Amino acid sequence: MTTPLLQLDGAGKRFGHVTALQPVTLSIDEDSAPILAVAGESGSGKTTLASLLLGFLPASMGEIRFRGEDVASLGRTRRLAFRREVQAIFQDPFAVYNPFYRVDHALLEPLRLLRLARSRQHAREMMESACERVGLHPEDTLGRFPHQLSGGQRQRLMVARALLLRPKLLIADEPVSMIDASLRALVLGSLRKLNTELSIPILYITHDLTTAYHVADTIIVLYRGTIVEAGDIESVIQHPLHPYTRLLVDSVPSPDLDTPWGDGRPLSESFTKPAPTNARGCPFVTRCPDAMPRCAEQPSPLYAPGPNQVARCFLHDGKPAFDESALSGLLRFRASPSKEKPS
Amino acid sequence: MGLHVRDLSVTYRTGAGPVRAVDSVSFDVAQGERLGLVGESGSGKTTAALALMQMLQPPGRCEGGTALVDGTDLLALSPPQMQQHRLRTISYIPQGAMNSLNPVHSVERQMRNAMLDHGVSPGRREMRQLCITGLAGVGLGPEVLRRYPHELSGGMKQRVCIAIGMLLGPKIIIADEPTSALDVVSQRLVMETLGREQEKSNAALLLIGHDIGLMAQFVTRLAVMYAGRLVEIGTIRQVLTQPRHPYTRALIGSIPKLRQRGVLSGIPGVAPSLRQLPPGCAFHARCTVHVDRCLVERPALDHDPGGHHAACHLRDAA
Amino acid sequence: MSASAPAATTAPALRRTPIPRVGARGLLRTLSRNPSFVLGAALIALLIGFALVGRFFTTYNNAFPLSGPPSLPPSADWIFGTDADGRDLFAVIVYGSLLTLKIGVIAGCLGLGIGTTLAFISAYRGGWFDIVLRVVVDVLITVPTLLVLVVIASVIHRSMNTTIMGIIIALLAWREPTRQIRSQVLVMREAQYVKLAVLNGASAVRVIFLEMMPNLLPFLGANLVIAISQAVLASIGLEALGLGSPSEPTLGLTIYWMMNESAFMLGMWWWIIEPIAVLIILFVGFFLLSAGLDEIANPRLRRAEG
Repeated sequence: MTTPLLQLDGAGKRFGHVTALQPVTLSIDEDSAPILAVAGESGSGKTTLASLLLGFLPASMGEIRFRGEDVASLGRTRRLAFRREVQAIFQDPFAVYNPFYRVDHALLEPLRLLRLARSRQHAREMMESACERVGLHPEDTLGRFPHQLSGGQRQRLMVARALLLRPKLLIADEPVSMIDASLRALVLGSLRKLNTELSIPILYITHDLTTAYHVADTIIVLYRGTIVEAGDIESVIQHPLHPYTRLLVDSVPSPDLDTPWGDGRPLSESFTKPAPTNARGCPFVTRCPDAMPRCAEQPSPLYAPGPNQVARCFLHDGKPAFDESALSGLLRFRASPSKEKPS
Repeated sequence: MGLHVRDLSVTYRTGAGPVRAVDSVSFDVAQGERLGLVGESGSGKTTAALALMQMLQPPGRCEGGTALVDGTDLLALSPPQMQQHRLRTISYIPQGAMNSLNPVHSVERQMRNAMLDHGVSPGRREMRQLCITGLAGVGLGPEVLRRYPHELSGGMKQRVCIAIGMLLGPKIIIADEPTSALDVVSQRLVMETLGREQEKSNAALLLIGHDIGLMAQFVTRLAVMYAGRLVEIGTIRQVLTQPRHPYTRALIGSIPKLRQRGVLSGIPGVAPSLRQLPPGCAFHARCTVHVDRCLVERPALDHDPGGHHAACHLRDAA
Repeated sequence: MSASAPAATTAPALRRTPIPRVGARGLLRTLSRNPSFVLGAALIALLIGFALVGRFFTTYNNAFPLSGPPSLPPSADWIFGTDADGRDLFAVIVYGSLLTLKIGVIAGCLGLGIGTTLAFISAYRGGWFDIVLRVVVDVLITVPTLLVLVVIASVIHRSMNTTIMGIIIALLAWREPTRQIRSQVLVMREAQYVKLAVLNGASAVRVIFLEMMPNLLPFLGANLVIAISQAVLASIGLEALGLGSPSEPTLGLTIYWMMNESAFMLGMWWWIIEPIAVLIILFVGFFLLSAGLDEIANPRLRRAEG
């Protein structure tokens, strides 16, 4: 078995007394290329997860390993290899460009520093072809300053950058939340192309379940740093197992007039209560409509009521337990022998 | 009763020439009714709202139109007069999660200032009672009075903004993207709160946003703006199920649904720069069914007997 | 609705704007629209121009005693008059202005250079270096500048010259810039484009010099101007106390002699007005210049689109 590309080994993050992310164990292989959605609201830990994976934050617990080596102690050459293979797209299409330079700078820099182009001419050709592949006209895009392009164009250019760099893993942190609805399809479409044509696994971090549903194959739902549900996206969205997931899915405003929010029932009063102060039990206990006394005492393990989905909830006590280390297989980051990836 | 806007126009005088951010927009919001105003960035929806509140900053200027509330034209009032009307007749609820609240003042102080600034000065005890009642209306306890904005979550900040906006019982409420920065659950909570308060006071509500799904769940009528112009207006059911303007159709078609996994589609092309609006219909370059007439003649909003108006030459081309 | 409409090609493409708004050329264009900057720069340029051109009309030796009859008011032969020791005040102003400016520039540049380096290392790398530096700066900032300078200057009194004075002032000039630049860098460090640069494989040095520094230039410029201005003030203070270079006719030294030789009592108004007028032009010019640069450094200019 080859060393996984990127590995979270019980990696978690604490800021003072607050645990932003509970320990996660996940292995990302090179030869598996799913699109994994990481869904959660602000404070769920999804951004922390991205920062950990990109080496922007050191882990407080556990380790993050790039091809077997601890990310925190990579030497110069290994670090460059890390950058070559793990790339990202960020949320704000304006702030991501240095206002002092033309937009080309964001594409030329990595080509130069990561030694991906043979010459300046070659770099230029690569940039132009990448632009065209995401539906941008190079002559209308390259050579301009960031404020001269629209948000959608800037973000598509970021996708072009990812295309250019051919990473082995792409982390997309809310790539379309700051873009107009009518332009999102274009950016998300380019991301999907990246995944299907170049077999690049993508971690799609979002708070928007709807776009996740259309783009991703598998999903992790985070709530206050804990993975509360995970699995095949169709199963999780259509048949959520965890009360929080159910709440999330019910609260997405549907443009269908005959499908009211939460079936017409208002949000229960319990939702306005603050989060629990003790860290012992389930973080959702104060707001859960199905909370039981034991939920406040101890954290639930992962249960797998079915083959494609797991939930961290005592409601499923009695169903087969699920080992955290098998998460990677469930999320299709490891080709598991018992399951074919549905196309 | 209600808000009646006719031919509202706003121009920005920029170095590169005048830009029509809002172009002859007309609509009505009846008392107790909820009108949604959707449009993408650059459509002019927030500019229109700010114009109604006389809160435009230069180089933006309201260049025409009337906004009648109980016979008074809000746009014709002098600044001191408008100050009296703000919050009492018409109020504006901004995105609270953003910097709408003063970070160095407690919630109570901000609510008090809102009252004092708009000509209401009951005694201290009465003011405190009003604040507590206001907060209770949005589901927040009196302990929030002492808190500072940074101690509150995004949803709580938004609800404080709603409370402030409704303190003086305004007849017209303009809520400008009140839930944009919030997660879906907080969004639902905030909208349920807003809806409840609006029903209690029978105020006319103008909800501005870009999320059609949210509109579908909340408003009774919907207006669509594009490039500063109103292109369609009708009941929510009319506009969603039988859109008459190609832009509305494209917009609705591009909404992904949570129950059906399908192909995501958008609207090709980019919105025209307001500086260089084409003659004729602003949407024709991205329109799949445009004809020659669309290039030269600007369509006007028609007068449909069913109340479902659209500004398109091919009005009923399905 | 499918995404294959041909209408997309007829959409008006974004026109290329002829001159960029940011970047090196854009910076110059914005500077020229800035009245504070222009006025300040004009004043300083005027002064320097006067000093440079004036050299053709006089010699360095004339700035020393016995160049002419003493205590002469301004006349056709002696445009600025002479002082009580017979120095040609025109020569004194011509050479003294640049000498004083020289001290300011040396101290300002050195102080800013040290400050910038320390600030960047401290803010970007953090860790123990940052903690130590913060404490050191916070303590040193409370030290009264003139007092320290007076002590140092009186110790090395005999070997003082303008260059050495510049260096001495620099020893204290770095404190405030370090603090200010450190704050700016702390904020910039979190910028998304800095994160992207790290993802690009950029080293810390590259991030600092290529990504952060260009956006900091107006701010650094404003700080430099202020540092020079304050250094000039400090030098005047030292020289007026008699601790300046005894052999170079700086403006401060002129003021020293002017005070010591009772120019007020003797009614030699030209001796009083001339150095002070130059100093006023200098300080007003610097102030306007830094205000102008401050306007540019303001992030209001950055975000041009909503």
